[in-house]
Amino acid sequence: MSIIIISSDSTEKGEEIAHKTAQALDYACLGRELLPVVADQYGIPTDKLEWALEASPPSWGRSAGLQRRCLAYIQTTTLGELVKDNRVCHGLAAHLYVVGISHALRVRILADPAEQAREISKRGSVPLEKARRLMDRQRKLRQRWSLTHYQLNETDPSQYDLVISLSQINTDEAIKIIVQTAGYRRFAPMTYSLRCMEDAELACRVRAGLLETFPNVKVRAEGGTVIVETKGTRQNKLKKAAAIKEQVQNMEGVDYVEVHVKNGLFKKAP
Amino acid sequence: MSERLSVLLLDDEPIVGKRLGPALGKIGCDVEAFEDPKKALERIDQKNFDVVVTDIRMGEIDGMQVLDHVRTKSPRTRVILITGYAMMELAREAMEKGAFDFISKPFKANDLRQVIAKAARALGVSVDFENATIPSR
Amino acid sequence: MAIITISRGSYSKGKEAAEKVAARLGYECISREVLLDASERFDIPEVRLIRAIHDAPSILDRFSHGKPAFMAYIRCALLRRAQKDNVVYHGLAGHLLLKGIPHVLKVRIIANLEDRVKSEMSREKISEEEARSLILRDDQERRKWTRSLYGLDPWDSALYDLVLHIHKLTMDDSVAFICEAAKLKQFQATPEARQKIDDLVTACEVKAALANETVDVSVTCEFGNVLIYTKSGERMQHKLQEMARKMAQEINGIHHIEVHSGVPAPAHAI
Repeated sequence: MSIIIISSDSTEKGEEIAHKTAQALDYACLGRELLPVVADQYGIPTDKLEWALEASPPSWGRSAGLQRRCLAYIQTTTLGELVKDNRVCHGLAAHLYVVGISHALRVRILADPAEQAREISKRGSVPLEKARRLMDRQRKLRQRWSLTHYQLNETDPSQYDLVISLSQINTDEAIKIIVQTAGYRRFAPMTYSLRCMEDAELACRVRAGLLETFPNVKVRAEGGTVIVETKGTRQNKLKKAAAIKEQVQNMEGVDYVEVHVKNGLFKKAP
Repeated sequence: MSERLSVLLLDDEPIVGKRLGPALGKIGCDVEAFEDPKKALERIDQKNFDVVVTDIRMGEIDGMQVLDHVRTKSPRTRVILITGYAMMELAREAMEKGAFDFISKPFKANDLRQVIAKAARALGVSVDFENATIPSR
Repeated sequence: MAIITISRGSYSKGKEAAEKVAARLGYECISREVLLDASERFDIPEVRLIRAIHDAPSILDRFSHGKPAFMAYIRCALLRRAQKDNVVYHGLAGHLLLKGIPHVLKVRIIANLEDRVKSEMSREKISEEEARSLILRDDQERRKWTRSLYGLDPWDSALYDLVLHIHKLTMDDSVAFICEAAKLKQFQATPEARQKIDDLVTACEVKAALANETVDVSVTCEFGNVLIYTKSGERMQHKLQEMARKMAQEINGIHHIEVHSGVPAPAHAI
């Protein structure tokens, strides 16, 4: 009974290990197949969601806002699934937002760099040297992407409970190690950690609902209490707070809403 | 036929025992409340409780030490830890050491009732938890 | 039957993990022993070897014979220990000094900075500020050392087979993992792997013997056939040939020895 989050520098390896781990534990496996569900829920095309998970973060403008929104939608639906427990998750960036949850085992899988370079070289018909440069560029992009959207560097090993390199250890052995670790009592869910997950899901769902109208909101949830923070001008503070309250208070799982509108000098209220 | 569940409640804040004690009593628990961890440990040495509910942060002896003590003395006893300073590492350590559950303060009225019910089920004790409420703190 | 290297930052409990792994597997646990072996064998004070393996090389080191020679001595001593198999090495740079041996299980242990600071404070009886600055300086020195000698970042997880976060798992779990992984077949010494170590020992002996003469040599050895690569001029080439003839008599394991001048050394040469 726990959640396993797999992050990898190789989509194929991450996916393979996630599926086989889920099979071994009889857990459900969450991956990119969830994107059509997100698309349906929020009325955003699936390819836009895929773009948000992979594209270099635009620094400003509508694209930046759209990427942020797409990621919030993916995060909400993913968390909605993860609260059900007994899930293995990969390819949905969950390692960057399921943080501080004691029953979530976070694993990083590193593909063999030599094998990866050979594969890229074969697939793209490019020389090995170029394949290595492409890998390096991709690694830097992932670092920038994760830091921009989640303020975490996904290539930093200290973010994970376990890092396994596939240079010497094969996928079956890696799966065995993950299954064994997930069985340790320290990763068992408890009232506290389950509540943390529920709080994270609620906060995220509320934020996703507000983002289109209020792009700068920050949301926290504790039990059924939701705390929303945003910026506004002195003139429209009250109006804005009331509008947010109105929208949030009827959402499922919300018992009480607290809205804090701080003075934002250069931000016009939407 | 409903059985009674013996519960030791330990928190150095007197208000906790005063409020939770009677409330747990109403749902079929025989509660002994303690504020002094030393006295609680002495009592644990004398009697094997079904459930021990303890705060983590207390003066000289903390909840983790109580957990260790209970696990050695009576492995059957289910230990539920409560803390206002919950953190992932602490939660994992508690589970590793054999805690039955871990709850962060403030908790909802129903949370503790559900956890106690879960502990009772794990022990095979049938306690009637229906139609009973515990005031939240 | 395996060789395990445990890389760690200071106060990261890597030593404790190494000792426990060694005790559980009945292996020899080594660290400082390697420096003592090298010190005795090549008659160099231990303190100078410690400096060579710990401090990042200065500009002067690149032109003098000091540091590369010492590194050759240390590598030689470690390889001799590895030749006996069933060892856990938790000294500095094990994964790099044993590069080229296929069955080495390379583990990195990482720990929370805050816990490391606490350990250093209590052991050295110093303030939190001092402890933190010492640890950060030590980490920085390690990164500089590895970058300057091997062009790699020791914090890059791709250098290891397993990266274990000691505070997110537990000491016992980490030890159990390492022991399990060490039993995998790819970490067992095959006859080919043994040959590889023997060859590396021979190459290292040759490099160590030449290290006092010039910094500009690289050595390879395959099945006892030793090739010495140099960029130096004709005079040095003659001198090296002379030395090579002598070494063929004195160093065990040399089947044939040649000096190549003006030819670039292969990447795996030491």
